[in-house]
Amino acid sequence: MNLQVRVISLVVSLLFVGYVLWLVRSRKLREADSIVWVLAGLSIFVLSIWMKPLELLTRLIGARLVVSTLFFAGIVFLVFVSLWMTTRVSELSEQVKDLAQKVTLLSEERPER
Amino acid sequence: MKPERSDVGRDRVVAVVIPARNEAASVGSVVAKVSELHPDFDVVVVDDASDDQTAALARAAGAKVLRAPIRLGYGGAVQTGFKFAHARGYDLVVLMDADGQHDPACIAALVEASRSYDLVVGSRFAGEASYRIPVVRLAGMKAFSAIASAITRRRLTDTSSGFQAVGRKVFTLFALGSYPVDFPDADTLIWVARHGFSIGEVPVVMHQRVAGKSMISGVTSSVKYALKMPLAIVVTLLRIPVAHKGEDAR
Repeated sequence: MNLQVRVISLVVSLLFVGYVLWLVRSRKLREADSIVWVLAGLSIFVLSIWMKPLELLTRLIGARLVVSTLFFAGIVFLVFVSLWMTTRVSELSEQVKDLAQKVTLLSEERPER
Repeated sequence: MKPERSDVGRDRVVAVVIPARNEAASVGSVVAKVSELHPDFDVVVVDDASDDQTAALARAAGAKVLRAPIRLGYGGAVQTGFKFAHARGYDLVVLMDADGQHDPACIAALVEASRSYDLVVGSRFAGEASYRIPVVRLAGMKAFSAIASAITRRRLTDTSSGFQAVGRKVFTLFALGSYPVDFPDADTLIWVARHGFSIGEVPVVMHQRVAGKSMISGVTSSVKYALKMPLAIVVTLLRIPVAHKGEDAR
């Protein structure tokens, strides 16, 4: 890949990691939830400088272009992240339901007569 | 015609759980009629965050009212009723709708049958049918009933019925474990059967609803129902039955 592309991905990955850290600092994102994004940003950063692993992986999966490997890995990563997010939503819905039911049970109002 | 008071179930502590969401038009008369027929039973209305006077009217009619702060969904409201009954030591929960479709006169038969079964389902199709259901939905209900019958090896004709008598063992299972938040159906019956509990059916009379509309109305929810049910059945079969040992002893 040419120098221009590598410089752009380097800058973008740095900005991305910076943004993630800012979100954590301003408490819009919890540390535990930020790890996956920091790691993703750092991987792009590392791969922009040192492309050997990417080339190796490309040969391993039999792809012709490094870009294909990148796209494939990116899509797999995003699919798993969104699936994981959905499990978090399910977990939260369950917790909200349990809490709401507890509140409901505490709300018992006796009949008027 | 004055309804006669029933002595059925007087030896047990029974809660009639009525989940209600925006049922102001009918909840009062349903509660009043149940209390009149079964003065010994506690009528518990679970008000699912209604926007109308449902809670006030239910209370005025003599029900205990549990008000949900946010919408729980039908199944979530029912499970709240089970949790209530479990915590308060009831022996039996009679589950019925607030919209006037379930005839309180049928409660006695459900309670009577609950002596022989852990769960009794009031079936709209086991007896005389005076109830109109859109053809497509009827086909779906019949199909899921057939599947549930095959899996549980019992004759189940109306798995989607919300008119049930639920024994303590079964509602403890639902109170401590999971219960579908949307429409409990064949999957919950299969889940009950997989725990070795007995399921019986008695015919019930269904009226056209006094007010409100079906929980499953419109194309989107019908499609959702048709897709969700087979999935729920498969998942139910994959899950491992749980034993709530000792938790029932208080």
